[in-house]
Amino acid sequence: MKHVLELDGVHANIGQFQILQGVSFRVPEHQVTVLMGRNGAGKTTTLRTIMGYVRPRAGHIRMNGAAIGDLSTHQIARRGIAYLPEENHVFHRLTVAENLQMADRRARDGHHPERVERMMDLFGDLRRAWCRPAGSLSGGQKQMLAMASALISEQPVLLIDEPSKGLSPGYVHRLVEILQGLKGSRTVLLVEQNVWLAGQVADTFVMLDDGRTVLSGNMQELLQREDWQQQFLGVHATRGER
Amino acid sequence: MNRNIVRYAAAVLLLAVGLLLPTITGGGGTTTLLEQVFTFGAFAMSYDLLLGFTGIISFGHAMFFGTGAYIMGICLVRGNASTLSFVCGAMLAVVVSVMLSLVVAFLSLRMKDTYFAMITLAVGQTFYVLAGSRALQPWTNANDGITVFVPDWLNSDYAIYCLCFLFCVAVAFLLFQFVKSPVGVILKGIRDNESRMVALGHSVFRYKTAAFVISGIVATLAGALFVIAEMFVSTQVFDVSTSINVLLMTIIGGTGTLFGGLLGAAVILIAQSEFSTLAGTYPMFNDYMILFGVLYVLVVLFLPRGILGTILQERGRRRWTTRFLNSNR
Amino acid sequence: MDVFLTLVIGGIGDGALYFLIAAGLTLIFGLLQVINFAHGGLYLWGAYMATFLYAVTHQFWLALIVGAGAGAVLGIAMERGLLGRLYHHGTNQILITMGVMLILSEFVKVPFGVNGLNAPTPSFLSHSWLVGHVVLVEYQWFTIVVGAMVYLVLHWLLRRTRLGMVIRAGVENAGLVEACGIPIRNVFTVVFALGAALAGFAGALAGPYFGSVTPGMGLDMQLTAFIIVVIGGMGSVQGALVGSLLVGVVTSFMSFYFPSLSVLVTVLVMAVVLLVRPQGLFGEARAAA
Repeated sequence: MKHVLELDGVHANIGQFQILQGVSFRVPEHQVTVLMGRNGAGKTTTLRTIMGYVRPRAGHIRMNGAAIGDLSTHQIARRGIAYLPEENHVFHRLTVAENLQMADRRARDGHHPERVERMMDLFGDLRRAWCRPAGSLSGGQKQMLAMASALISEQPVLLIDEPSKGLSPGYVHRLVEILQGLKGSRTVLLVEQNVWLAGQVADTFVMLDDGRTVLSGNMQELLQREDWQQQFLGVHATRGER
Repeated sequence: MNRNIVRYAAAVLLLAVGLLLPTITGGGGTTTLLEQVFTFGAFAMSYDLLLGFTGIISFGHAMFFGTGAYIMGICLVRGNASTLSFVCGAMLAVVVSVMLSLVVAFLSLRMKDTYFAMITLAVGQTFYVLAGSRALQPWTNANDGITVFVPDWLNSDYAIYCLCFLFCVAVAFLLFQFVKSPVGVILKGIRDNESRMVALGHSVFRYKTAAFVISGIVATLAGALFVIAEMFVSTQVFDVSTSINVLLMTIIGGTGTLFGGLLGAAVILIAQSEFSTLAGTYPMFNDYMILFGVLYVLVVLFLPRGILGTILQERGRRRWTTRFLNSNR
Repeated sequence: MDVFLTLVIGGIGDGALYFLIAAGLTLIFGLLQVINFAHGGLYLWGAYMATFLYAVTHQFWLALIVGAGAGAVLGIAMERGLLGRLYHHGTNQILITMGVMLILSEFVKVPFGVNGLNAPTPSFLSHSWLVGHVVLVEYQWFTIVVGAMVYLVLHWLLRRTRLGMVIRAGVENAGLVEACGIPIRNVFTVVFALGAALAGFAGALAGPYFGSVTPGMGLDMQLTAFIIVVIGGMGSVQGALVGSLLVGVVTSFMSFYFPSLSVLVTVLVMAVVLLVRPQGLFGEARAAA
């Protein structure tokens, strides 16, 4: 199996705090890999380090075999990675249309109405809000717009940070559908705390704890191992005690 | 116990050397230069309280210095150089500086630091224009400036020198106590991580205002002394170049080291006087401000701790004695 | 009424000039979060280069272009050479740009002397007419038209072009722009150069407007521009326009009726705005936090 992203012993600091202290995992092509762990385990920092916002202090990050640890963020994006941060993932003062134009790297070669149309079909709500500033959208609509922004450039790799956070159940189901639809064509690295959602979409998982990778493997295995979930995620901690 | 005795002895020795310095170096021009070093040294230390200990930049600190100079000058002229007018001048200067600093702080310190730098620059320049304006001519003599006479007991180079020196020592001592005090520690916290201090429940605005007021009082008194030492005051004291000079002194001496300001004042004023002498023979030295500008940029880029800060850092690195550094930077 | 009209037109003329400076300042702040304390120095050098060139060649349009070019070149050198390494270091940025201001203001005295130069108005722009009792000065109107054109071009650039969209996006969230594969550092340089070119261009216009150029004009204009952007709101081009016109007209009236108070008035207007609306008339609360 081909691995698109490889992290090998990555260490990273934010300010004087050591956030990542040895993160190693591989992301297989055309699968959904979910990055899990408690709050503060370093999941978001891992994504930000891959994207070049945070410089790795030690270790290697490779994409398709080439080191990208020293590249700047826009160069990494141009290598084919789209990034959806957890917050501030849309430009609030730009219109929905402008948000999609910003994200569409190839828009400068002329308009691509067919790509925009495809996004409209995928995210019906956005069509009605076309000329409104993104800041006026609801939380779910913003998440859909961010998703559309990430998809429109047809980048082969997607890094998505907690897309389900704060979404209503309806939007969560839409999200699951979209993510499932990406399998087989895109490589996705997803940060997700929601075990159910992760189970619906992920093929493999990577578990972080205290800035280190502690486990990785098949997602189905994680779903069955409640002891792992309890140890590293703190879920189901009280089941059966009363 | 023993250490305290050594400390007092050192302090007495320092005072004695300071007071006798003019007799060692010879009078005249050197004494004038020393007077300037001590007044500007106090001014620079007051500035360091803002820049080095609170982390805010004022480009209009000359407004205090100039206000002090003008108030003292006007009082001495109106009061026929009596001792009473000297005392009134000093007291009035303090009162006005407190009011002025409170107004400016209220307008600008609630916003981002960039606002503070812009607003102090604008307000400072307004004072410069006002001091030279026709409307205030009866008081300020507009662009011609005021020639000032001092009380009899101050009417010698040595007396003025002693006043400047003792003032500077007092300022150094009091400001040192202040930055070591709990309030001083909070100010350093604001400098290093403002949002954290907010989160801890400190009213950052109030502490910044306090630093600004204290700094303003010291700068105003330094200005009042300056007019006594020079026996003349003109709009130059309000000029931006005065604010820039004190900034330069603080940065070169070392921000956040307090005493660096005095060192910086000495370096800059001696260099200025040397350049002026050289300019007599080589006119190119008239443009020494360019040199200062370049020096200033280079220090900010490559020697951000200034002379004293760098020395202390090196010493701290080599020896165990990081205590001084910890309490200051 | 005639005096009133003359003063209003004079104020708008001044305001048009102020706008060119304030717009550059506010654009740079909006995207880079840097207050350029050397902005008046760029204006100063634009003025001197244009005046010098006009004296030598008598080519007015060329002088304007060279003025803008001087600003742009200095701006690019500043951004690439000094500021690039200091992003996220607010205090040092302020100190450095002020140091550059000092150097630019002092250095202009070396080739051109301390007393300033005469800056004649080109003959084809030096007419004036008396309509009723209102004096219409051609160069003043020229400045107003140029100011209006610059505003429209900036508006078009920011609202209708891809670069403008990237700039607006960067003002809001520079990190996300990078994630779109756009090198934000280059956009920073472009915007800084644009603001600097506007300052240099304003300087080139200002020479004939005031009749002379002096080493102190940069700092004076910078202070006015600071007051304007504080009034208008940092980062807002609309705010810069409204602030410029406000300050221009108010100063024009005050210097006619109460000449000795005109300096105080702009500062007082600024103080009132700061008290009532600390983020400025068109500013976002974020900038004032």
